[in-house]
Amino acid sequence: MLRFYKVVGVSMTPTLYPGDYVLCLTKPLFRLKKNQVVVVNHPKYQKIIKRIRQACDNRGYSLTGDNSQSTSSQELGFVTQESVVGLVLLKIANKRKVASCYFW
Amino acid sequence: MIAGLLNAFDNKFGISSVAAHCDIPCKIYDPIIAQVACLSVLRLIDLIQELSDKPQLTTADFSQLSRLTREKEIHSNSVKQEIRVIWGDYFKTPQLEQFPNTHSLVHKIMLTASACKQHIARDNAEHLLSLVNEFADSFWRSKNFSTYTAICPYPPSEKVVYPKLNEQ
Repeated sequence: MLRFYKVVGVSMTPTLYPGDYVLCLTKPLFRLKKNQVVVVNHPKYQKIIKRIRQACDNRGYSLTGDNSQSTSSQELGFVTQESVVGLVLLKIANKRKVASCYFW
Repeated sequence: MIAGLLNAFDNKFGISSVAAHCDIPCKIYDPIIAQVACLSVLRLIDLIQELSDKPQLTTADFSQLSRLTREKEIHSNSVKQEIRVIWGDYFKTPQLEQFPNTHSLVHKIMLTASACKQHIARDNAEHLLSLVNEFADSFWRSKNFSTYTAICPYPPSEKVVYPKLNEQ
């Protein structure tokens, strides 16, 4: 199944800017690869969008943002295949301006 | 064009958002700012009470009263703002599951801080400090730090909850 999500926050710039949309394949059952962008239901940070930094057979996936402001991979820890909500297939850039970071 | 259609759909029905959030500035949370603001409110109420004990106020006293009241307003607002930020940005599902009374506690803090703005009763400020101390205790325990209570080493010499931090 396919689903759209809207990006908030700046940790995935310059790939994704706040307000951009992504089209995701929901709940992928196949093994994901390094550098793929995924939406994950993280136990601490809830629904986040990050890039796979490392795919380990036994520990799941290590995640990273695309810029230095992102929460670190160490902080994010490893996530399981089950926690991957969607695999990003397509980005739709949005010219509409939105707040760059909701936490500030 | 596709983005325009999605914007229209988002405006009408809403599209779920996913966070690509940054944590460098956002991770610096500490309830001590709210606790010190509470102590300031208490101290300001004490100073206002001292003025009210005078048989007659001079122009200088009126000026001082005006200043103290203004500061009380500012520090009460600061308590509300600091608690709101930690509650809104730091407390997420795992912390709320660990401390299920957080929403109710924060709401009480908001109401009590407003009462401190409206009145000069010391009871309100003491109650506010105890609530904010309870919030600080939850905050530190959610980060796996135990806490202890000590009398702050300056006026108004009230009990404050501090974290037991590890020495490096």
